[in-house]
Amino acid sequence: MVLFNLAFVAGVFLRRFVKRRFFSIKDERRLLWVRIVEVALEGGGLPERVPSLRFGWERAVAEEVLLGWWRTATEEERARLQSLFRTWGLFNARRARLHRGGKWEQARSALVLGRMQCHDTLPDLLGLLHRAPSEIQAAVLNALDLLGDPEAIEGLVNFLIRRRPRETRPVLSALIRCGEGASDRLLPFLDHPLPLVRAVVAAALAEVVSPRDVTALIPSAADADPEVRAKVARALGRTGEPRAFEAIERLAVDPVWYVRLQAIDAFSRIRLPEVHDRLLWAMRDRDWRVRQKAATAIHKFISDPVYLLERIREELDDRYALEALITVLEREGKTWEAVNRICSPISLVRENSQELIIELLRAQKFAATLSAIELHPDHAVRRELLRLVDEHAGSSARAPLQELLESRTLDAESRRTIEVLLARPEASP
Amino acid sequence: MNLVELIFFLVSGFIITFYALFYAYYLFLFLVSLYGIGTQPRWARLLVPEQLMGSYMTPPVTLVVPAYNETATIVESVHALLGLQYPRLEVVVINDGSTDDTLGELIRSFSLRRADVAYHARLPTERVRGIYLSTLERRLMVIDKVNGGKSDALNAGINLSRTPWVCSVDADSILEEEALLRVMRAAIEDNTVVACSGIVRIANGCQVADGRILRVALPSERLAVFQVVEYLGGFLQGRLGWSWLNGLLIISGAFGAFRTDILRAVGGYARDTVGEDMEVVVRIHRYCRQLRRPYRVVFVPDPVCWTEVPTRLGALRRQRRRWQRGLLEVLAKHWDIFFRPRQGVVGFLALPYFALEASAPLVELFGYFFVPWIWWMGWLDTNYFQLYLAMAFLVGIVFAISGVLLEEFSFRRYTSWRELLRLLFFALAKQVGYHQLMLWWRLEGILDYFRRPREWGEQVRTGFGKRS
Repeated sequence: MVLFNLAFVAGVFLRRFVKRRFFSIKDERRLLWVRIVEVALEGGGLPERVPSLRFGWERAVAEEVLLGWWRTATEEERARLQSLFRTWGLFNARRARLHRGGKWEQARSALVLGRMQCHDTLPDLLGLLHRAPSEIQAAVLNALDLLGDPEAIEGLVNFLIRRRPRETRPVLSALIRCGEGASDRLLPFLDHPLPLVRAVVAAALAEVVSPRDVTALIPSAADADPEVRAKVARALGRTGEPRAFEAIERLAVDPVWYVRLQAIDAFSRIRLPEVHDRLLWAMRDRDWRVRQKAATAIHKFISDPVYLLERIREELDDRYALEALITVLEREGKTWEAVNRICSPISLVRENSQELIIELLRAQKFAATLSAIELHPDHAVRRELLRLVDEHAGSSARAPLQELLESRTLDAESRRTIEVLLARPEASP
Repeated sequence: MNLVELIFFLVSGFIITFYALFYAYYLFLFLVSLYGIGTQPRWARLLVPEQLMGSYMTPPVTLVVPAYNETATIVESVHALLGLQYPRLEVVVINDGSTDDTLGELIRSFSLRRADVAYHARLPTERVRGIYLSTLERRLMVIDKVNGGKSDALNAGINLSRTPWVCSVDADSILEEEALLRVMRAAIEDNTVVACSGIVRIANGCQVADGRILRVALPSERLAVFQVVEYLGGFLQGRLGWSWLNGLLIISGAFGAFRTDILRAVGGYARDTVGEDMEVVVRIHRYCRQLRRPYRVVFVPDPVCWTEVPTRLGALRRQRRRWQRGLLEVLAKHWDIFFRPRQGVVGFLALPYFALEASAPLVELFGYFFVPWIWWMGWLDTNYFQLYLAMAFLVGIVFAISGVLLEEFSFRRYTSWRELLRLLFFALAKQVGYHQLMLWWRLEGILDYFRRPREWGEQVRTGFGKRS
């Protein structure tokens, strides 16, 4: 046991020694290749004697250098890099390993060929995809994703049909990349009898659809599978085509909530006057997620948030919708913008800002206003906000105002005003 | 055979069986990890970050960062987190009622303002005093809440997150630039993954600037080097093995990603235990197994989270007591799934292993008294005992250095000869003194379990930037 332990530790040191030596040789070789590629990209010729590419590690180093340049290269430089990749025999070696290498070598080869945009290896990659075990499938799908070749679409869909993978996202991602600018090649598969195929293709179309696809998409809005309907709703919205309005309108009353959700999102992308009413109507949906989506979507159409807040507060009385809209306003910095403009010399800007703050106070959302009273550098703004709190906040502001008094950053005048407000027995707040 | 002899026979048998089982587990995990470590780094090299950055499949992630009295490091940490390489990222910092100026630092550095953002308390937490948005960085949100402990803070962050994945990160930790992308790769490639985590390494001794590790080095403090050895063993040997078996029970609170819906469905982090990171994973296992859905909880060894470890005995003692107490709390809470067929690897292998580990200090302490007693009684076969001791010691050494070896075979972050020698030396030296100290603190942890003190596990932070 002692001997075993000693031998083991000695082996570890020996291994490290060998590896370090090997790494330093690799580093030297890498520098050499970097110089060669640099010269080649600057238009100079290749040296008469290039370093050896006999062994796998030698080819791997050369490849690493090419791939390193690839990331930042221009189109012209990429063409040159690809030509070097082929001239040095790296392409043929990779292609051969795609068929005959071990699992890892196959996966690595697929990715290298994909990254180097070797479109002529597409049949090899698709062939490998159909027969490869799952570890390699992921790499091949990534390679197809990197290639982004529309010719791969049919092969990818066939892969879905034959293998029915549990994990469809890599296929979807590859379909999206391959379908960019070639959505017409995806459309025929929307009629496929297999729901899995329809759902994945519809999801891909939702990302790459073009306005000319609307007519072909509309029949699929009545698909039996809600997944497909939801994706079609998304795709129709992405077209931004007014022709899609009626189909989306039908989807907006779908019995399944996530189909309605996608339809509401789709509405927000179609610039038609009728959309406002539909979105306002969707704010009464039975599902809170749909109401929330409608509240945030409508914000894109109606630039006057005061009007929207009023409608939600008075007509719908829906907490989710109200909070969703206010969250959007906060995240987009609209409330802070209103705070900053509350003393604007332009009366219209000033009034709009004041109205928004008043609406927030009426909705009992005090955070933005009180935060500004505490931290805003402009004295006039703080005073104006306190005036609005006094006039519009109501008695529910008492507790947050009380809390504000504990702040150490509150200025003396604001503190006095708040104390006066709180001292009033019945008046607001 | 009289009664005393019978008791002696039974106790000896128990101790030998206990250690045999323990070593069998270790050996099994070591072999599995050796296999995993042999293949993992190669597959990890296939990752194409630019592809994942622009991929449709890369899910949005919210980094949930609980902070309690972290003035020294919080701003630097948040800057580093916002600079991570990940396409759709939000950062939610939760100021858990800090008594120092953590919130003030954040307000000043990121120009925070209080905002009315929808916050639905799906997971119950202590009162949220306010939510802050940054006027400089739209991806940053800060929750200010009443102190409720780390779990409570994490739950508040989960409540605010809107993304399908959340990742808990300690405020004093440093993630490598590609760490999140690498850890999420597991989820991107397999949609059954519900939780995943990376390795936690020790930042003491490393050169740090602007929340980035510039140079990896071993710490000069001996106590920290012992912990480096421990962490290497714990992560590369233990977790990799359990992950391979889908029996991983610990996803480090310092760096662990979860599917938000699953985390919400299981009720978030438990607030009644200090071992919340382990407890939540056990509940996730239970939940998924109950639903009979395919799922995986995985450990990926190449994404690195660097963290500061205690260099003072007092702080280390508190930490180890807390860990031991947390382990016992989790085991007590989930004792009902031990050896349940439906719980598979978790019920049959993982939990029993942790039960063995939790009780190891007691058995070892018992051994320290039992052996002299049987020697005094004249029942000890000295030749047999010497052989047993030598075997145990040598096997112990192999297991002690196994973590260092796994590191050497895979990632080799410590590059100099001196560091390798130091690591091996400390792995061996750990058996004498340090191991016994741990044993004592873990015994104290067992006592704590019965007394149940409540604390956040405070540690004095020096701040990475200042140290470097």
